[in-house]
Amino acid sequence: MSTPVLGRNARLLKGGVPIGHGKNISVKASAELIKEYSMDSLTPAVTGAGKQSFTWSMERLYTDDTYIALLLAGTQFDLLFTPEGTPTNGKEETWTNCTILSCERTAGESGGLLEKLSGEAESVELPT
Amino acid sequence: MSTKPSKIDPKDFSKKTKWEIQAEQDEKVQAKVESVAKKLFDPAKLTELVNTIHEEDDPNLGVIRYGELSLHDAFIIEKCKSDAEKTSMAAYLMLKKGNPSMPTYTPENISEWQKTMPMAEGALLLLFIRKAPAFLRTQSLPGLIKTETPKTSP
Repeated sequence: MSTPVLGRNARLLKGGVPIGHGKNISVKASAELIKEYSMDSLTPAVTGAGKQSFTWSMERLYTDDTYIALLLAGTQFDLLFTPEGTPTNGKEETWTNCTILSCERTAGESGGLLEKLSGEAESVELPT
Repeated sequence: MSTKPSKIDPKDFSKKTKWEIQAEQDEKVQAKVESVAKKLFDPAKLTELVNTIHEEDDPNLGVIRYGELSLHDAFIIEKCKSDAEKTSMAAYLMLKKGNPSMPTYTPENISEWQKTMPMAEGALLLLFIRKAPAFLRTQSLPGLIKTETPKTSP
């Protein structure tokens, strides 16, 4: 069996305990732009990054029915993955306090499986 | 299904959680389904291909419109007596599909079409047609040296 590309897959953790597996994840950190102008100029006097948001998405989520119910009800979780794709200790990235904001479910699928999920995290812990 | 939490160290990726094992099994099943789907013979799709009129720009001859040969065409070509006539008939049938205004020729009088075709353009046309998808690939152009199969050592 081929080694899974861990950079594309993530573990879902609740209180440090694995509660699911997210396949083909994608993460995006963005910030609002702060732009201040003085009265006598058309160019900004100050620019900078403002409020941050951390969005994530995954193609599939494997978990249990009960966890699905909890997650869809707003229970927060952590996403743990290795961005480099290899399971090296200390190289894991954690997106903490994630919330599901959108999900789809393909007709015919059953059990603990959700598809095309996306949501936001509160903060990111980068690999050391 | 139970929701008993997994006791695996969350940062130890060498040990798979039950959901990771489930995902791997799912991938295997999906790969199997896709491989079967790829191998599935689709006669309806094949029929669509035969009815398609292709249009290709040849640097020497210009835009050539042609259709692919069908099984029925193969039987018509088979009626031709010589290899030269068979080659001409195949080229003619392909061009006729894309150019319905062409005069009608049969295996009996296909040599008449050969006679009306200028040599240089005719040779280029045959070379072009041979690149087309459904031409009889094993058939050699008249005058070309046959491909020899290497002899196997005793």
